[in-house]
Amino acid sequence: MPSNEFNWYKLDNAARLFPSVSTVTATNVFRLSCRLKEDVSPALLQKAVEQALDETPSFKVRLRKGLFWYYFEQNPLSPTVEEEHFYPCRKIDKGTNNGYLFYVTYFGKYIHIEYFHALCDGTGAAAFLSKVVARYLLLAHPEELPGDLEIAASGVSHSAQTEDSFLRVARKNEVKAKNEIRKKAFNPASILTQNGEIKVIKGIMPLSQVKAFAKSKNATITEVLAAVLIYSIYMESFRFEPSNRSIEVCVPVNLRKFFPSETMRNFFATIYAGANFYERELSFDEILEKVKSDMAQELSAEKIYPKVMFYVGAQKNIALRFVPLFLKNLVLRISFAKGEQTQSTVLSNLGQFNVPKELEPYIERFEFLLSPTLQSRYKTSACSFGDVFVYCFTSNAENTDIQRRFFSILKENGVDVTISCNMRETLPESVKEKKKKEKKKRGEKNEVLQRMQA
Amino acid sequence: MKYCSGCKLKIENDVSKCPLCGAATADAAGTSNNDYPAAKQSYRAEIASKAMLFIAVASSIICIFINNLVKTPIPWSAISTISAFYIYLTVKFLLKKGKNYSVIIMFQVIFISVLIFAIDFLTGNRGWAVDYVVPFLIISGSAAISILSIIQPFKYTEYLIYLLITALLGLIPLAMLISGVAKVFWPNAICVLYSLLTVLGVAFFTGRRFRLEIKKKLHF
Repeated sequence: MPSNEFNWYKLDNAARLFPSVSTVTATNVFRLSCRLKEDVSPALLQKAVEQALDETPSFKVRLRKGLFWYYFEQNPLSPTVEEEHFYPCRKIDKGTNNGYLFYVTYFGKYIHIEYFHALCDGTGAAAFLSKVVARYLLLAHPEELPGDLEIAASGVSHSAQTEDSFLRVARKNEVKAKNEIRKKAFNPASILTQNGEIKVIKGIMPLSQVKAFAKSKNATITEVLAAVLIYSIYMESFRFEPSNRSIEVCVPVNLRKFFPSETMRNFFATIYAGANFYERELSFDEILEKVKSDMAQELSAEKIYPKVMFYVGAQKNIALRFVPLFLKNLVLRISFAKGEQTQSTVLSNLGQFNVPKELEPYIERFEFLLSPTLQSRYKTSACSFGDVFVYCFTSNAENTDIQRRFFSILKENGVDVTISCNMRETLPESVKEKKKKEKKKRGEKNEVLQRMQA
Repeated sequence: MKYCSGCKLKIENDVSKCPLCGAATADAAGTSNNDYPAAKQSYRAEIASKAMLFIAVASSIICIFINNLVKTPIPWSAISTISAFYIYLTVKFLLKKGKNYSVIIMFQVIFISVLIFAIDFLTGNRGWAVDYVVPFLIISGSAAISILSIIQPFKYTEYLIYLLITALLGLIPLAMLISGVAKVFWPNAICVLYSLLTVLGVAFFTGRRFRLEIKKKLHF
């Protein structure tokens, strides 16, 4: 390994956007969690994170500013592991966690890792979490587990992990760059939560039942869930404030499926599936047909390649490259907000988590959640482990009608949903302590008074 | 485990209200667990920052008001206004998370230079700021960053660019001397010399890193 100061990376094509546009209300942080069947030990977790980090050089970085672009620099410090004490997906900047762009927390049986999107996409994040969990379990159960366990993505070389696959794929000028300009999408009306706190409502359900539901409709899981989502937004929001905008679901696509790559950094594109209710009301089956045709059309290498070419072309444009960073930030911020307006919601399906068979008995489930923005206030994400499928709504809105409709529809279609949320009715510790102290003080005063009277 | 009869859904957490519809929940078979902590929220830092700015603005307005009522030969309210904003900016920088101390030092050199220059200018323009204070301020600023980078070598790349900017500020006294604004020669000359030695030292001891840092900062 070369000396720390000499190692640096340029940001990949998708990552270049995020440091410029991220604010407290649009953090671009997503979280992957693993719920174990035992309580998490902080000391072992710290060690596991450090071990996993040594295998993944693309995560051992801090973000720095240049005159024209941001860049990653090797981080000589260690990340810290903390007990979770706040809302999920807070902004990650150089002030938190020694400058690392991910943040490991634990709470009870949970191991959470929050990632800044500039660092990696869902696939890279999932590989890193699997590594941390595997390392943790190996440390926690050295007697029961074999030391030579085969851990996901362990054999991949460092150069393959840190590759900017966008550049490689777009190097051959095979297709013309093309980007479609999308119209504004319908945005469900909502009341913002206080101080932008993030509301998490997730449904935990058996994967087999979701599969059966999708099969009965002759669609894939993502298609059927997107249709349910559109229908829920229509029933709970669009119906009461009709508009001529369509309800669009933005679906991130893993480009590794189209262009083989083992990178841990960003390598994704987005497609849209939507329905317009302006002309007439659509039934659920009609929505599903529309979603299926949208997906079939968009989900092909021929359709996605020009988009990738367009974004890489913008990055390579010689005039744009020499614009100072602060001007780039201004332009990117506006275009990001505009881009967020073209989606009513997001559905990111990470798919099945794979861990070595020996580790499966220790793990209960994996969870995945995204952070909302002011323009796109409901975001949904899904992932599964074994037969446990977790579908998660995150929003910065008080309204929960869409979530309620969504899970009710699943329930009606024979999926046994259990709800879990991040709303707590207990008072925060600090307030409790204050009250206790006040009581104590009052008690002491009374005692003194009584003594004086006596 | 709880159950909401309105939504017909099971709820894993120990809540008295349904998170989806707000109806009271009933007990159901199965264990409850809380997946998230009760979040502690504190906005003290935000309020403190606002309060500081307000105090700075309010005290300046009051000073200007009094100064206008009671005219003095020296307009002291201007000095107090500049000082109030200097204090505000300094505290704000120090409260920032993930602060880079070399940035703070660099800005302190700039802020204090402006403040001292203004005080000198308003109290009879005798030139002591340009002649003595500013050159020694720049010297101590770049010396402080040099010491920081020796103590914390792992943060050297973070400090390097600000060390260079502070050293380049040391060329301003040269312009002051040539233009005749500065009247005392030796403090300004020492400042220029020290700054040039700093740049030379950076290039001498860390030439490769220096080149790489420039390459990183200017990559396009």
